[in-house]
Amino acid sequence: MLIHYSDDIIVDGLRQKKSSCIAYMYEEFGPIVRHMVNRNSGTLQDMEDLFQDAIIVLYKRSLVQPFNLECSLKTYFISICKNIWLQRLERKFRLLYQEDFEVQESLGIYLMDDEQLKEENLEQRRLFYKNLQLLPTDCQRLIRLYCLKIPFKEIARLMNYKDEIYVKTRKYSCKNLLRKKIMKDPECYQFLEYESHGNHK
Amino acid sequence: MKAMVITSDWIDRYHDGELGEPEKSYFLKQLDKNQLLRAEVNIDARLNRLLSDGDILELMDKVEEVARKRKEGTRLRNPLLIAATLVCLFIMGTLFYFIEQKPVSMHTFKHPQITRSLHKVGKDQVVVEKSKDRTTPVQAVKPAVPHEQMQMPLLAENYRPMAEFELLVGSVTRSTGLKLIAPAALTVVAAGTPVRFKWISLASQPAVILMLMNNHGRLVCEIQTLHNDEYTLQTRGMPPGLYYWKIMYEDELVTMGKLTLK
Repeated sequence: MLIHYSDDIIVDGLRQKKSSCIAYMYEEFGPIVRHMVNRNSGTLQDMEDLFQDAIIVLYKRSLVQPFNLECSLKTYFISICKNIWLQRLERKFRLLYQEDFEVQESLGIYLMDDEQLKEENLEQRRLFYKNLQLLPTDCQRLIRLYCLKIPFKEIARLMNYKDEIYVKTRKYSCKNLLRKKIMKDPECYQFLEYESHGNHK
Repeated sequence: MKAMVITSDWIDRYHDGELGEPEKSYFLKQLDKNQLLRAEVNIDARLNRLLSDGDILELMDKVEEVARKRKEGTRLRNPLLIAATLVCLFIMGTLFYFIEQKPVSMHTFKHPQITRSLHKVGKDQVVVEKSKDRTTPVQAVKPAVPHEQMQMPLLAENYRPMAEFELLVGSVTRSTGLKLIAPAALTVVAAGTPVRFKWISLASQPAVILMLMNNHGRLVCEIQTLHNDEYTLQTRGMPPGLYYWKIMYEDELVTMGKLTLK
């Protein structure tokens, strides 16, 4: 049986990055997001992506104090999803969005100028993350350790590498591999196209 | 002067501020000319931003993990659902089979006149009460075959003639004192149709016994009639099949016939 979490508990849990809260959000909000995406030419994968992006946006917003909700968290979350999806539709499919009255989206708060909601940022982040997951395990670990600003010497010790020079060389090759993977990704091509169009405007 | 070649580590070194002045100047020139290099540098800068945000990376790991678990759960749930459905179908099929089989095996003769108004007096004796369906008062009926033995396994089996009785069908073995008028020796009626037995007797109060047997020679019912010259046999509730009847008068066989219920 699913335990009912209040909005405050969910937000607190999300701030602490608790898996149980994320899972609860999937259970509670997932069907509505799926319904919304389905109604607007989206697939199950689109729904998954949208949901993950919306969680990140909500997390970032929840860190900005004071975080006061003027509506239910569900409505707020759906409004974030709708906003992201609107931009995604506009960019990818050039389709009109059909408002879903069943979820009372009119109650949502839309912040179109919010940097956190910028569709390309979210999608780029997901694209990078997806490709990072495709790297060999040692590469992933090395890049993550490096980005946490762990000294090369310490990384060499943690990863049983010969010395700092090898860590540095390996880091270059891993990052290069990651960049190449990202650039070969069809989604990246789309994003670069979009960016070049945007720059021309 | 040694020609410079941009290798993959240059992008990292550029962002880390590790390129020397001549290298940096050359790199910037190439950056202006080469669109692909520009895109790669751009991606690297964004990548560095993402990777430096450990909080978001951690959250993305958690979200990814939850999504993966959900997918695995669904994947696991689906075969379980299929298995449960198959088990349910099997159980339902088995139940349906037995329910369907039961009426066939329950083709037991239940004479409405008798079974509905029977009440046991003794082990071997059953008294029958007066019924509206009867035109003749019935005195007593002997229990013929135990209920279980009346069961017939298959419908086709119910129509198989019995050789011993077939020889006697239609023959009048004794005509003195009683003459049967109806029914004919070979009577075919739809199940549920009443069959009227009528006779003429010299005696004023003939004690006529009507015996009904199934096609296996088992006695289905025995009816003794008094003070009348007819009796209507209600076939409602009797399973379709072949029956033999005997008319007995003063302990002697008068005639024998067969009744086919369709």
